[in-house]
Amino acid sequence: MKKIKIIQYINNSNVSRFRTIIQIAFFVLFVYGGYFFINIGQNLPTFACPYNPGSSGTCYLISAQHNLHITWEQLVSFRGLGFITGLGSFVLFFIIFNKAWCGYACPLGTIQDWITRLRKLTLTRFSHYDEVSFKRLSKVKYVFLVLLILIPLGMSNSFFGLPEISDDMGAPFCQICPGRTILPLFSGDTSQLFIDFTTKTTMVMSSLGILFMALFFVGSFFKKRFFCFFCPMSALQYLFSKIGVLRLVKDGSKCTRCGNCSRVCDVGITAIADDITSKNIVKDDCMMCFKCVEACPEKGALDVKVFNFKIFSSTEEGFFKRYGQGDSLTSKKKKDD
Amino acid sequence: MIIIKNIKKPEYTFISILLVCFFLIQPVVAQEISWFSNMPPKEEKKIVENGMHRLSSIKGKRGQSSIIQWLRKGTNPENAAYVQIPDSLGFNFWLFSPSKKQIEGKLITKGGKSFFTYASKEEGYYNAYLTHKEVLGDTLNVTVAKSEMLNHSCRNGHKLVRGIVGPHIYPEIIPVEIKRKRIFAEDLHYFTTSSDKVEYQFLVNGEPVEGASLTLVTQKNWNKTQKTNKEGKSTFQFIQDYFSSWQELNNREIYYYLLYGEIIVPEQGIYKGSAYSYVHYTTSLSDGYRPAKTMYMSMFWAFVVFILATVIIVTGIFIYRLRRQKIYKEIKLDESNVTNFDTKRND
Repeated sequence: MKKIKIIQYINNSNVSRFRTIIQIAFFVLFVYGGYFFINIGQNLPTFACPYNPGSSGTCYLISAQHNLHITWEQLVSFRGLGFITGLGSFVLFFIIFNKAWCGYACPLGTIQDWITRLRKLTLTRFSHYDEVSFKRLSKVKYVFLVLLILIPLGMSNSFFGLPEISDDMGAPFCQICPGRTILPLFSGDTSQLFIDFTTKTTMVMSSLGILFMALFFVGSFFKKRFFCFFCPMSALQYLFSKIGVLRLVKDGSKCTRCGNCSRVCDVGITAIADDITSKNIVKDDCMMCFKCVEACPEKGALDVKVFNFKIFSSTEEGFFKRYGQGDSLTSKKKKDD
Repeated sequence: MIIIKNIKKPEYTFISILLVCFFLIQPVVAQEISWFSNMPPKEEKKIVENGMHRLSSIKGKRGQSSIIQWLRKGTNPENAAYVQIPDSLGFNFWLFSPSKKQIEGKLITKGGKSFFTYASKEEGYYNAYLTHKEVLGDTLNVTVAKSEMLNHSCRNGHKLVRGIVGPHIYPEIIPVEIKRKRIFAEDLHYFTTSSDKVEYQFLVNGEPVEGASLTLVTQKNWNKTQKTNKEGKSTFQFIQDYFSSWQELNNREIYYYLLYGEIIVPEQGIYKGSAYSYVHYTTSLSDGYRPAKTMYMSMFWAFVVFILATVIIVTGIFIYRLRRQKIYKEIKLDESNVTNFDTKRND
């Protein structure tokens, strides 16, 4: 009886509010944790940016780029183990929360959510992509991912006899990542806001970095979670998403295709409503915020599971409670029963 | 001659004494300072820059690289000669790892040039020394060429940085050396840049010495000599030694400097059967420095790019939304047509 009550309480709860609190906690941890001598690790599946002096960890993308800045000979020698162990620890971190790292832990995601709130306050209309644009733009993050693997390799090796890429590219994605320019600002560090005239390469890359920062601010003002759409971390995470402990599962037989789930989705995934055959409904753009589960009125159509244990399910009662008409409709239903 | 003729005897004596004193109090200018250099000779083509500090290295088997440094003589870093260690006794080569263990480094003489190589494995500063002792007249000349080489790879992480970057000295083996003071925020990516004020300490048998003369010579042969204070310390501010045209901007360009110091100490003793009354300590330290990074960074241009980008993107979105706005159009249904249609169908 008690167990049923707990389950009912969780299913009726407002996960979005819980998420906001978790996001703030993670933001403080990743942006200011370093000041409290917290060091979580070097291969985190989220934007814990080492350019930020208060960071308590390091994003895996920078580690991966460093690990791949080696010659072919080194890659197949013991030195190549650095890349494998780095990837291994990334996967270990990742499988615990799966893509919820994006929805709950990513500081850049949290900033985008704050900007969305600001937009709501200013009563500005938000934008969303049509289906064709969505599919096309969705591939951009994979292009970024491939480039951040190939460019460091191209800095130490020659591809097809072509000259090696300039070392000034450094960790190429970090040069354009908004995390490098924005997150240090929260620690009062403005040292990343510059155009580096050291060489032509650094000049171009640092200009792109500032351009992406402007895109990040403006884009996420008009489009919810704008940057997540182009994020190579999201692409990399998706490659391992199937082995994640945390899962978002859909029972297509219970789905009425009302479309509530896709309407509330910040990223704008329509497949979550349209796809009634897949069980694992985590798509590459999904950030596992579980807003879709909250908005689903069909009992058991969408479930959040840890292994095979349900921890949060869509219910009619929970839907009505969260969307404001809970009491009257529930009591009416009871009377009907 | 006329001047000398006109000078009376006591004056002559006085001037002579003054001249002698002048030469005595002048710092002894070392004519041949030995030092380890990271700059490869022009004919060395296989040398590559390696790691964070762009140390010269040669590639070995499986792509593993070994650090290489050459022995040079002279006080001008740009023109100093690459020399070989003379085949005389008294030269000793020492190489220490960051964990202060003596390690094996190869000191090779090839083609009239002496150089040493080693494979760096540990994170931190490797110290190399070439020591030499020789009695000339009544003076024991003790010369030490020192080199500090930082090994770091970001792949190994950045833990316990403060402990790794600290300087190491070996007074029980190395009689004289110059120690660079680490700055407060020094990390494994530290590089001296122009405009930096760097403090050096002159140590004899591990003890600071006052009054030693320290000379800093930059690659373009700008030099400055200072005396060490009571704590054996002397601070030098590095000048901007590199100016280039706009097209050749490169603040990664490393310029080398040579720092050498010396002092003569009255000390009696016997070395290898030869008695001496003075010890002349000479030591050198060479490293690279870069133009100040901030000279090549512009926050102003970043601000301009940011504002421009923001304005362009916002304007683009505004125009896009404006174009997609559907103008209100009142649609009037022609009811007569509907009736006709229905009539036709009924027919």
